[in-house]
Amino acid sequence: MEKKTIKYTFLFFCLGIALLLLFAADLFAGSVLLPLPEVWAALTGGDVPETTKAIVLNFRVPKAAVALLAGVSLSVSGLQMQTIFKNPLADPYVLGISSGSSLGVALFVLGSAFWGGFSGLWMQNLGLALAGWTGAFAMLAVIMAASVRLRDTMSLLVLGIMAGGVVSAIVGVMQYFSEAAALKTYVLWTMGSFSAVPAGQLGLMTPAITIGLLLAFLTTKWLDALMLGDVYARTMGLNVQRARTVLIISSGFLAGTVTAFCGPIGFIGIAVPHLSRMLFQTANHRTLIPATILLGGVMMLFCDLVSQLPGADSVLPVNTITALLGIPVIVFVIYRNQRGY
Amino acid sequence: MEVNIHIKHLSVGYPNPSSTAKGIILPPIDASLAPGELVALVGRNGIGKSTFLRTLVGLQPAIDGLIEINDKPLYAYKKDELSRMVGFVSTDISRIPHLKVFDLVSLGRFPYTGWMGRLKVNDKMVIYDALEMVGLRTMAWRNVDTLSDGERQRALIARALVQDTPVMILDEPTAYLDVIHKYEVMDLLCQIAHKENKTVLFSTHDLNIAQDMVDKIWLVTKSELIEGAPEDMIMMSTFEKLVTRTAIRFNRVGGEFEMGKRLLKTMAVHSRQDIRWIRHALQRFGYRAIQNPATTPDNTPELLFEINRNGMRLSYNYGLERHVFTSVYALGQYLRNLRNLRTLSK
Repeated sequence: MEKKTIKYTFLFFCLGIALLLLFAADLFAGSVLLPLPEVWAALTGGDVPETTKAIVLNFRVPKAAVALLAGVSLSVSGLQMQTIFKNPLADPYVLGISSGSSLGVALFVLGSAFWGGFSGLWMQNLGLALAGWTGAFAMLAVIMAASVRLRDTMSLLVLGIMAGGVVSAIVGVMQYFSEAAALKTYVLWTMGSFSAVPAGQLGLMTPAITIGLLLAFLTTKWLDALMLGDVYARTMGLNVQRARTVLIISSGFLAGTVTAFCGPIGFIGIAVPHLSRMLFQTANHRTLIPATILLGGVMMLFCDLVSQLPGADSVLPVNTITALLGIPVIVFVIYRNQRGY
Repeated sequence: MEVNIHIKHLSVGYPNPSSTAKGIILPPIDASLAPGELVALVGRNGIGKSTFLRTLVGLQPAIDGLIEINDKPLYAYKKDELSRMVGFVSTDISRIPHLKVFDLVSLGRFPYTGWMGRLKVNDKMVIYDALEMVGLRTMAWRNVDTLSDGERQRALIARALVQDTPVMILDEPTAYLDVIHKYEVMDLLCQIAHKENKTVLFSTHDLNIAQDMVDKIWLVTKSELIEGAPEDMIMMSTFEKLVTRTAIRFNRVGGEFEMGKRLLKTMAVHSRQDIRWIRHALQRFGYRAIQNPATTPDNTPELLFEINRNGMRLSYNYGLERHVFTSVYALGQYLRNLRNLRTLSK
């Protein structure tokens, strides 16, 4: 017992340090490498050139913060989905949140030819996020309505996948009839980006994610009970229907918000929960929730850092990096745990 | 806490609006359970034992009739109230990676812990006591994945133990286990019922092990539920109700089912020793054994049997044929060849 506590404290401490270091690195690395003292001065209001201050405060800090929030949210949401559906390949998007978002964004971007669209990049970004958010929650509402009648968790999973398929088809049709410029905006959104969120919109993203995380903390015990399956959960006195609903809402707030603002970001949501289980050698959600929060942040900041191609002018789409880093992790985990998941 | 359960005219099954039969899968049941009683539910595959047990733990509503726990109907219990009254062990086997035995068992404390599920000193003591009782104290920090089937079943029983319910209901706890593990699990259930004074009800197909241990058997058929001590059932020919094919019959002396073979031939066995197992073997080979007959009729093979420290000697005489074997297996091989030759010549 004692040894376990020490091991956990040590792991949490290391992850915390890694998170801080990566966050700092993410601030001074980019297309322009800024010296650490200057970044520090810009943050604390010291004497630095205006341009440096603008880069740090208006661009680098929001981007690092968004990356952090995205990593945390997708990882926690992935953990919840894997436990609810008892499926190792479940990710934040199993219930069709990403396709709902895509539909919202597609209607907004590809359909803008019909209603004119917004002027100005800021409004364009906000509109994109709100459209994605509305789409994600509309899809969630449909799934929730169906879940009242579907008592079986697996049917819900199939429903989510089917709904995703229908939406992809609709989006496909819309893409076919779209102009090149609108199509490019849409495709760029699907590739994922943390820099599309201006500092002002962090104020919208943060509360939504806080709600999701708060619910995740409050439902930790329920996740543990659901781990053994609905039958055991019910005979232990858990209201499974209610627990599932609250968990899906929590997951929706987390994944839906990130997807709306940053685009659908893959693989982190599957990989981080597996990595956390392996690192902490436990299935206990009281440990796994904080573990995925830290590890999710670490992973996503690292991906963001790599995507900058430090020193180079261009930035790679985040989704390519999460795939290149996430997939080997998933394969490794599957290889290691052939007996379970 | 002691709990009495009364089941009154209970129908279980699945409500099906499209048919008038309502999908009832068992006859209306009247039965009762007393504190400290170990009860085995037996019946043929598919008769509805699992549905019955699921209804008893409140996982699905009764179609008709009443289940009363301490004179209060089951449906009147709140979820958390019921979770402190009735514990359940199902047949589900879910593989959960990195799940430690301790963590699995600790899930049973769910109704007693706070919103975070943090375990207090008292909870940990209860968990370690349960692990001790099922014999997994030293395996507390092993992965559940690495346990044998029997150990995992015992861990699941420990989970139900720490839920601290006066009633424990288990769906086929001895399925998939080897014989030794079957005995271990059943012995454990016996201890839980008799030492902890809990009511333990479990479904099983291992009739011969169960009847040595349980206080009562519930036998369900398509038309009725019969309850009684195992011996009542044996002496009153109740178990025969399970049989639908004539080839299988219940051996009242041995207390178990056996294949009834038509024994066409007899064999005279000459021996001063106990020939129980020789008789057993000959029966399988298709012969009825008669020990030490005064006269041996013609056309009856004779067998001399002797066993001592040096080994076994089986001398087979039939007409001019005379063979000596040193094992039952060798005798069996010979008799089988003989039978095949006869069939061929015909």
